[in-house]
Amino acid sequence: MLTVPAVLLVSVGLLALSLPHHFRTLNPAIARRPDQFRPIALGLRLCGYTLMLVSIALSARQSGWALGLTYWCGWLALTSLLVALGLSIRGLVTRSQKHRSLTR
Amino acid sequence: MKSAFRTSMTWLHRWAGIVFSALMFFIFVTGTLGYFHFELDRWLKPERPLAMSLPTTFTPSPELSVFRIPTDRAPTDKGPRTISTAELIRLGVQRLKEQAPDDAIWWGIILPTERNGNFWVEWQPPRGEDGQRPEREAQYLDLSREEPLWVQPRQTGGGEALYRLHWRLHYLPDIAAYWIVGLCSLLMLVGLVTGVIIHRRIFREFFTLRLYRGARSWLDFHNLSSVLALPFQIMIVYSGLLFFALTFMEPIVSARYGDEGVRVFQHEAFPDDEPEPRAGEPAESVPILPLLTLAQRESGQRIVQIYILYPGDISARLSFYLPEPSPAEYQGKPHRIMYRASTGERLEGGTQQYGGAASVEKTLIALHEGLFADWPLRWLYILCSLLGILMIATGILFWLKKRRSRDPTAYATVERFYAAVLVGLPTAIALYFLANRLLPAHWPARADWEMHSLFLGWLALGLYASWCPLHAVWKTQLTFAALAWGSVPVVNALTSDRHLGVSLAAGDWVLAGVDLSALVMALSFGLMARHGSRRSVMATESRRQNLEEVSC
Repeated sequence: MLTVPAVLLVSVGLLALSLPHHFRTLNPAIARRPDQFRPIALGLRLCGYTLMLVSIALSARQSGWALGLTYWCGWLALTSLLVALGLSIRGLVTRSQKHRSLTR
Repeated sequence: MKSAFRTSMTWLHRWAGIVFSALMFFIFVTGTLGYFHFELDRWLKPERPLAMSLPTTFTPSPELSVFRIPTDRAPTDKGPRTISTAELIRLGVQRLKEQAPDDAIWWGIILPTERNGNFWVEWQPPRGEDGQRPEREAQYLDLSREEPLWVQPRQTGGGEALYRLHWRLHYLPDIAAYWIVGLCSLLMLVGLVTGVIIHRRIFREFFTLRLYRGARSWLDFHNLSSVLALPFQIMIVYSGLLFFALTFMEPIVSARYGDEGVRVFQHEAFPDDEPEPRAGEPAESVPILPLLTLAQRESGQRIVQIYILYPGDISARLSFYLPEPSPAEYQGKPHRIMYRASTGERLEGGTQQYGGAASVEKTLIALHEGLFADWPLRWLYILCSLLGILMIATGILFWLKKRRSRDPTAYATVERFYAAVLVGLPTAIALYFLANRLLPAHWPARADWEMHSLFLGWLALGLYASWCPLHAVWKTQLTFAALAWGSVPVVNALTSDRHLGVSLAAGDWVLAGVDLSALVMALSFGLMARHGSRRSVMATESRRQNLEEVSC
C-alpha cells in the first residue's frame, strides 16, 4: 500500500534536487557552478523519471489502470507537497544558520 | 462623462472578479465537505447508534456474515455481541411490513458499511393528493440494548444539505444556480489553463515555497497549490461542467428530440431497464436471503443495498445494488442484480450498456463524486480539494496584498468583504453544526433553520467585518472561527451522548473524526489569529519606530 507513495516521494525528491534552486539548499558551491552541476542534474532527473514510471506501474499493478492512475495522481500531490515543505523548511534553516554566522 | 463611464466600468470589472472568486471559494469549500457527507450525516443525527464492526472476510452466505455490535455500556461476561446479515434482514423486512404504507413505492434495506456504520430501512411513501412526492422515511436499528430498538433521527439537512450547497446555492432557483455555478466552473477552467501558460517559470520554480517573504510567499503558495493538484483541479472543474451539459445545451437537445427532448435524450444516452408497472394484484414476496446468497455468489462482492420496487405487488422487483465501480468500468458492467420478488425469477438487465460518449461522461462524473474511493483515496481527494481552496484563497490574498500596498484605503471595502468570505464561511459552517445540536430536536422546521443559521451567521459576520476597524478585521474573524469550531465538540458533549468520550471509547472513528476535525480547525484558526496579531503588532511597532526616527 505504501510502496507507491514511498517510491514517488524519492522520485519527486530527486526531481526537485535536479533544479539548481533546490540543490543550492544541499550544496551551494556545486549548484553555482553549471559545469559541475549539469551532470549531477542529468543523473538526478534520469533516476527521478525512472522511479516515477516505476511508481505508475506499481500503482496500476496494485489497483488496475483506472483506479491506479487516480490513486497515483493523489499520491503525486501529497508527495510533492511534502517535498516542497521539506525544501522550504530546509531553506529556512540554512538561511537562519547563515544569518547567525554573519551576525557572529 | 467618458471618465465617469470608465470609473464605473473599472468598479464593475473589479467587483465582478471579486464576486466570482468568492463564489468559487464557496463552491470549493462546500464541495469538499461533500466527500464526507455520509460521515457528517452520522454526526448530525446523534440518535443513530454507534457504528457496527464489519465482517473481516467476505462470504456469500448472509448467515455466516457477522457484524459486531458496539455498546457504550460496560462490557458483559458474555463477550462481544454479534448479529448476522440474515438476522438484520429479517428484522428489517419485519419492520418495513409494520411501518411502511401498503402502497409504498419502494422499500430499502441498507446494511452497515465502513462509511455509514449503521443498519437501517427506508421507504418512499406514495405521492400525495397534490401530486407532490413526500420525503422518504428512514428508521435505524439500535442493538445496544437487550431488545432491538428502531430510532427515527431528528429532522436535519445533514451532510447532504451542505454538499448540495455547492451546486444549488440554496436560496436560488435550481436553473439560476446551475447557470451561475456552471459559468464559474467555465471561468475557473479558463483560469487554470491560462494560469499554467502565464506561469513562465513553472518548471524552474516547481516545489518552490519561500516562507516569510510577504506577497512573494502568497504567490508561491498559490502557484504550489495549483500546480501540485492540477490534474485534480482540471478534472473537478471539467467534470463539474459536464453535470450542467443538458442545462447549457437544452435548446440543441430540444431541437433534435422535440418538447420531451431531455427525457428522451436521457433514455437513449443512458438506457435503463424499464420496470413493469404496478399490476395491482397482491402477492407475497419470496424470502430475500436465498436470493441474496445467489447474488453475492454471482457478483463475488458484499451487497449492502437491497431495494424492492412496488412491494406486495405481483410485479414487485427485487434489486441487489453492487458497490460503485471504479472509474472507466462503466461500459457493460452490471450495477445491480434483479429478481421478480413474487416468484424469485432472475430478471434480465441491470447492466450499464452505455455508448462510448456516455461511458466517458459517467467516468468523469464518477471521478468528480469519488463514491468508489476507499479511505486512503478519499483522504487524497480531501487533500487535493484543500489545495484547491488554498489556491483560491492565496490567489485572493496575493491580489489584495499587491493592491493594498499601492493604496491601502481604496481596497478597504474589498478587504472586509474577503475577510468575511474567506474566514466567515468556515465559521458559518461551524454555526450549522451548532444549530444542529441547539435547535429543538423535534421541531418540524429545524432542517430549514439549520441552513438559515448558516446564512444568517455568515451575514452577521459580514456586517461585523464592515463595521469593525480595518486593522482588526482578520484577527476578529479568525478568533470567531476558532471559537465557533472549538465549541462544536463541547456543545456536542453537552447536548448528546455521541461525544468524543463515547465515540473514542467505542472505536467509532468516523464519529470521533468529525469532533477531532472540528478541534483541528479551531486550533488552526486560533494559531492564524495569534500569528496574524503578532505580525500586526510588529508592523505597528516598526511604523512607530520609523515615525520617531523621522521626527528626530
